[in-house]
Amino acid sequence: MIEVSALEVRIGATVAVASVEARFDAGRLYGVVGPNGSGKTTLIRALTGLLTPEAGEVRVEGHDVASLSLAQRAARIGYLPQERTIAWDLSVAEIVRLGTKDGNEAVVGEVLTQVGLETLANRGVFSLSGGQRARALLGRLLATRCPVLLLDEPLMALDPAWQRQVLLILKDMAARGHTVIASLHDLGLAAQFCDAVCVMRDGRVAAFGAPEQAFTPEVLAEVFGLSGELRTEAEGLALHLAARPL
Amino acid sequence: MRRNGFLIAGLILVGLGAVAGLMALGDVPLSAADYAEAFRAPDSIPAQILWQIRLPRNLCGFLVGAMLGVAGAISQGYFRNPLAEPGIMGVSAGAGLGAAVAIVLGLGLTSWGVEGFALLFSGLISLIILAFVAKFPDRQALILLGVGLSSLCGALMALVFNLSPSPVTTAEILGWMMGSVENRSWEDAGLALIGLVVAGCLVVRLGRGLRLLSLGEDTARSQGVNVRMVAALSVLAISVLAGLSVAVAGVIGFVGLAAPHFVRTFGIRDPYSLIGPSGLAGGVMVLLADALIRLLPSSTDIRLGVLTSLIGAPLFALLAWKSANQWVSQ
Repeated sequence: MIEVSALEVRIGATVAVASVEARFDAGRLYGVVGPNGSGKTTLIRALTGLLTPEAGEVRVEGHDVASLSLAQRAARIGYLPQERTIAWDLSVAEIVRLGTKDGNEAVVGEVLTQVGLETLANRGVFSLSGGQRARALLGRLLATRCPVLLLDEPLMALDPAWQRQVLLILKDMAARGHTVIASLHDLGLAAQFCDAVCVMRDGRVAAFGAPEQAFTPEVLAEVFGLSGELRTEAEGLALHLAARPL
Repeated sequence: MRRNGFLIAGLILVGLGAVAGLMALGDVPLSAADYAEAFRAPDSIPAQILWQIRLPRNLCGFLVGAMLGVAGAISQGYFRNPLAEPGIMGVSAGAGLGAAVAIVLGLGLTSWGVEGFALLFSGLISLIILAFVAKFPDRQALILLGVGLSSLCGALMALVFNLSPSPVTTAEILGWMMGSVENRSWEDAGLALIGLVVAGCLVVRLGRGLRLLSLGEDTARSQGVNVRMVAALSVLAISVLAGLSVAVAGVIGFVGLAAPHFVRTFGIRDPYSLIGPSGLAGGVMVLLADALIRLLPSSTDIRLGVLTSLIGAPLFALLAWKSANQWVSQ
């Protein structure tokens, strides 16, 4: 569980995140959504403890993140950054193994199956597609087995089928008791898969709660400049959007 | 892992074979009786040639190459740059400048004069770099600092040439700058070994850090890596190795750059697993280059650093072409 209170983070002189109050419970999948530059990445980096807040605090399982040592933090929080650079042509298995503490091969094998790369385990990542590489990096995160998993745009570079598959994996991790928070751009997928969403605008939380509560026509219009509504259909919640004239 | 083991075993065998084989190569031809005498009578001339001239030279060649190979692998791993090499931070240039100053001051013939000055100057450069890393643990900034320090040392080297008292001194400096393991002593080999042991003690703490840094600093930090510590240990290890290699054998080009790439062609990509084999490959490269020098007519007087660059540059271009093909297809 993560509790955020009165969080303010500055990047240089700019206030990137301000007055954030939120609580992310274990066993749930959260989507952080918002337009470009709304503070999603900054919020997630602050939750990992990689950014030091100007004010307020982030508590993970009751501990102030700032007071935890690097090792204590790493044992509690797993993070998949937006940056997908891989410096060397490591194999898929080598990348997943980096997530484990002691190179536990059982965990590596399980995760490779989870991300659908078991047949490519020994292939160098430079010969893989962008989507396969993204899944290998997701595998590294899953192999950490951390109670809190933070993901910055995990669906980037994935085809529509794998976008859904990854969200199902994240939902499964949440069902196993992990706190899972992912920044997402696709509001429809966020509405369909997330237990709750945190809508960011200009570094502040514009709405927080279950998708049907947070994605109101007013929020969609004010935050995203879109007109739309959330409807319950056979497959669950579906968001019907149309761009409004700028 | 198994591939790494086979490569290490192969390189050790080739290295030992080269050291043993090179015992038979030198200006003075030795007969079977001479070899027998060298083992029987430690004060005999053949014994002096084998144990005081050829063996220290071979060991120096291997150890200096190993220092460059290890330093190159750490440089590429830490900077996450396949073009990084031990001289990237300016330590080698500092050591070269120190050696040049010692020669101009007339210390070329004193024992440890040139080595001592090379170590002193490389130590000063290392201290500047470490102080910088403590404040700005950013690899890009470090590369910029290294470029600045190398340029400064280059300019000061030009000044030393400019103020050199005689053409003989200038030639002596140039000779040093072109690198050699000729006439090296057991003490020189010991110095190189100390460098490798010190670096080894630092390197064993870099495994997790270098591996995770392959995926970026945020990933590494999120998994508990102290990036500042990895930077400091890497910089210290590279400085010790680069400074000592120049102090022992002058400037030997391309080995530090090419050895890690050579190892990668065997499929070893993990930046930490690469370090040991890269050291062995560097040692073998310098030994083989030194063997070639001994096989060439003595009138050619080609220096070791020149030969390693002459052989290394085209080979490296070939490796770079192969690697570039791979990166373009990313």
